[in-house]
Amino acid sequence: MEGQLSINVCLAATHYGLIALSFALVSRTAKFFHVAHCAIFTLGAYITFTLIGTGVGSVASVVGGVIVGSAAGCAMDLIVFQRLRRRGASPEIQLLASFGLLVTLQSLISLFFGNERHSLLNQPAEMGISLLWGHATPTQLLAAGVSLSVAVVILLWSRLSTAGLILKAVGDDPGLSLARGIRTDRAILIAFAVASGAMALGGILQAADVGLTPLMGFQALLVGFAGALLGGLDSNARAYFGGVAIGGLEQLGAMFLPGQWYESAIYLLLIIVLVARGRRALGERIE
Amino acid sequence: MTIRAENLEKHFNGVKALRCTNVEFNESKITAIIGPNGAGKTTLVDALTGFLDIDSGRCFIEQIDTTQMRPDQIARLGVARTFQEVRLVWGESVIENVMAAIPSRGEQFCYALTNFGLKAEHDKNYTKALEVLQFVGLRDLADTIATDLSYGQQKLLEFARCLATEARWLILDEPVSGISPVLVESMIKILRSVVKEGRSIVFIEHDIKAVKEVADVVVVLDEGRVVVAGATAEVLARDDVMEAYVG
Amino acid sequence: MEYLFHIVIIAGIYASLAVSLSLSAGQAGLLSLAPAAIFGVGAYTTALLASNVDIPLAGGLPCAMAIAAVASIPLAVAASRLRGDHFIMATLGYQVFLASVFENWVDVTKGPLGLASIPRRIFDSWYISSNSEFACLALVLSVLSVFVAMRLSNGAFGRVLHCIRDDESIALALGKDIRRFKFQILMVSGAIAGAAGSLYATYTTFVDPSAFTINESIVVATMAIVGGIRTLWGPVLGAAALVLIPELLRFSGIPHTVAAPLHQAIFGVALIWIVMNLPQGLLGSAKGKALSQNRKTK
Repeated sequence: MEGQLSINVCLAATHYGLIALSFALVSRTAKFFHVAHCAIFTLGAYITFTLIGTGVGSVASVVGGVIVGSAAGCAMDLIVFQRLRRRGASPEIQLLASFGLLVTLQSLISLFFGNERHSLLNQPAEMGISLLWGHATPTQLLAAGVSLSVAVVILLWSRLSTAGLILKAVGDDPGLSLARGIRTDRAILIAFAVASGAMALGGILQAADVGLTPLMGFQALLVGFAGALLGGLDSNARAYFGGVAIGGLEQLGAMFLPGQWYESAIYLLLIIVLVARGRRALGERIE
Repeated sequence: MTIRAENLEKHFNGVKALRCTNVEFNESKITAIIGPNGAGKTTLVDALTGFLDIDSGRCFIEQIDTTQMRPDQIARLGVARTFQEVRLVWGESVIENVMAAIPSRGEQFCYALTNFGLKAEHDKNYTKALEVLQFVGLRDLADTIATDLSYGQQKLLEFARCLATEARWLILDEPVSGISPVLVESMIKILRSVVKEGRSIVFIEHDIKAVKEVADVVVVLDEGRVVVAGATAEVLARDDVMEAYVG
Repeated sequence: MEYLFHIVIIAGIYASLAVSLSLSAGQAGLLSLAPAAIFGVGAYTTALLASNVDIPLAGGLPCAMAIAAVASIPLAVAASRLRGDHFIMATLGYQVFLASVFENWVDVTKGPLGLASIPRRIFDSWYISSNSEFACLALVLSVLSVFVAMRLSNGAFGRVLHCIRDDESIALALGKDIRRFKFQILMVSGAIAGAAGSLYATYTTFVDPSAFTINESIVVATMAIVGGIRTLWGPVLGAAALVLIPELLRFSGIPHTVAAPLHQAIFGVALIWIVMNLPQGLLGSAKGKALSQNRKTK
C-alpha cells in the first residue's frame, strides 16, 4: 500500500513540480501572478488532441501542442501585458487582465470542444507495469520521465545560461536592468515562451494520463500556484520543489482524508502559505 | 519632551544604513538633519516614525518606547511627517487632501452609516482646512485637483496636511528641495511661525542656506552615524562638516 | 410578465453583489474574488435556517448577513497583511476553499445534490408566491446597497478609504488605523453579499454549490468593473447589462451548450478590454502603490 502511495507521490510530484516551476518562471520575470498561464496548460492538451484527431502522429502532435502553447503565451505578452507594462500598470491590473484572458480562453475551448472529458490517445486502458513498489502505466512513467527531464533542463538553463541570468535580473529589479541596457521586454517575452511551452507540455502529459476537460488548467493552477508559493517564488528551484511537495501532499491527502476533502485542504494550505509569506514578500514586511 | 533614537542599527542587503545611531530632538526647536546622499537620513526618519523595522536599538517619543509601534500608532502620539517623494491623494482636490488629516467623527463606522451630526462637523472641518490653506498660501487653490499643482505647491500641500493634524512634532523630508526661491522664503517664514506656536520641527535638507536661516540645531549624519550635533552656527562653521558636504 | 420579473430579481441580486464588491475594491482598493463564496454563505445559512429550524426570511436574512460578515473576516486578515495582487490571490484561494466546502460538507450542505424546497416564508404566515413581490424585494436590496455604499464612500470615512486605496502610507502617516477600516469595509461588503444570498435562496428555493463558484465571482467582478467600479450606480448598470446578455442569447435561439461558454467568453473579452483601456485609476493609483509598497517598510 505504501509502495503504491510512493509511486503516486513521485508521479504527482514530477507533474506539479513542472507546473510550479513554469508558473514561477513567468510570474517572477513579469512580476505579476499570471493566472492565464493555466489556460496554456489546457490549450496545449487540446491542440495535441486536435492534431492527433486529424491524423498527425503522436510525437508531432505533442510538439505541435507545445509550440502552439508557447506561441499563445507570447501572444498574450505582446498583445496585452507589454502594453500594460508600458503604461505603468500595477501588478493587480495585470492580474485582472490575466483573469480576463483565462476566462476567455477557457470558455472558447469549452465552446469548441464541449465540457465532456475526452481521451487523448484513444487507446485501450493500459496495463500497469509492475514496479518494485506498486504499479504505474507506461504512459505515466514516460510522462514522469519527460516532466523531470524538461524541468531539469529549464532549471539548468535558468541558472547557467546568460539568458537565464538575464531573466533573473529582470525579475529582481526591472528598473535597474533597464538602466543597464537589458532589453527587459525581450527577456519577459522569452520567459513567456519557455514557461508556456513547459506548461503546455504539462497539460499534454496530464491529458495523456487522465484525459482532457476545459477546466483542467484551472485545477492545475491552484495546486501549482500553491506549490510555487510554498517553495518560494523568488527562486525557480525552490518553486519546483514546492510543487514537488504539494504533489506529495495531495496524494497523501487523497489517501488519508475522507472523500474530496484533500482538495479543500490544499486550498486552505494555499491561503495559509500566502498569508504567512506575505509578511516576508521579497524580504520586506508590508504594513 | 524629546524624540530620541538609541543605538539604532539597520542594514539593507548587507549595507549598513544606520550604525549605532544616537540622536535626540528637543521640543520647540527646529532641528535640521544634514549629510551626504546615502547617509541614512531618511532611514532614520522612517525608523522614528515607524515606517521601518530596525535591526536593533530603541526609539522613544516623549519617554514612550515606540520601537515596535506601527506608523499609525506613532502618528497618533502627535507626530506628523512628509515624505521624500511627495505623497498625496492625486485624484482629489487640495482641500480634500487637507480634510483627510483632520480627525473626524465621520470616520467611525456608525456615524458614517447614519450620517448623524456629520453635516455640522463637515462644515467645521472645512473651515479649519481653509484656515490651514490660508496659512500656507494655498487657499485660492482649494478646489484644484492635486495633480494640477506645481511641484512646489504639492510640497506645500503635503506640509499643510501635517499642520492640519495638529501634531506637536512635524518631521519633514526635504521640505524646500526642488522648489522656487520664492516658495523657499515662504516656507521658511511658515516654519518659524509654526514653532512659535509651540510645535517642534525636525527636517532633512540639502539646502544649506535654508538650514542656516531657520534651524536652531543641526545634526550631521554620515554613513549611518551621527558625526556631530549642536547649535547651527557652531556646526556649520566646522571645516570637517563642510568637507563632508562638498567633498 | 413573470419572466420579466425573474430578470429583475436576478439583476437586482447581482447588482447588490456588484455594489458590495465595488465598495471594497473601488473605494478601498481591495479587490476580492470571493463574493460568490460569501454570497453562498448567506444563501446556505438562510436555506438551513428555513428548512431545519423553520426561521422565515425576516430572521434568516439578518442571520445570513451576520454570518457572511464573519465569513469575511479571513479576507480582512489577508488584507491587513498582503499587498494588492497577493491579496487578490488570497481571496481566490478563499473562494475555491469555501466552494469546496460547499461541495464536500455533505452532512450539512448535501454537497452537489443541494438543499431543495426552501420555504418562501417571509414573516409569520406571509408566504411569497409571485415574482413581482420578489422583484420588489430585489430592488429594495439593490437600492439599500447603493445607499450604504454612498454613505461609506463619501465624507470622512470615504476619504480614509481613498487614502488606503491610493497610498496606504498616507493613511498611516495621518494616524488612521487602516486595519480597522479594512475590516469594516470587508465585513459590510460581506453582509451585503450575504443578504443577496439570502434573497437568492428564498427565491430559487434551491441552493447548490454550482451557483457559488469562481466563475460567478469573476462575473460579479466583471459587472462591477465594466459598470464603473468607483461609481455608485455603475455596478448596478453593469449587473443589469451583463444579466441581460445571456437572456438575449437565449432568445436568439442559440443552444444552451453554446450560449453558456459564449457569454462567458464575452465577459472575458469585456474584462480584458476594460482593463486595457481604462485610465490607470482602476484600483488605485499605480504611482501611489509603487511608493507605498516598494519601499522597504515595516
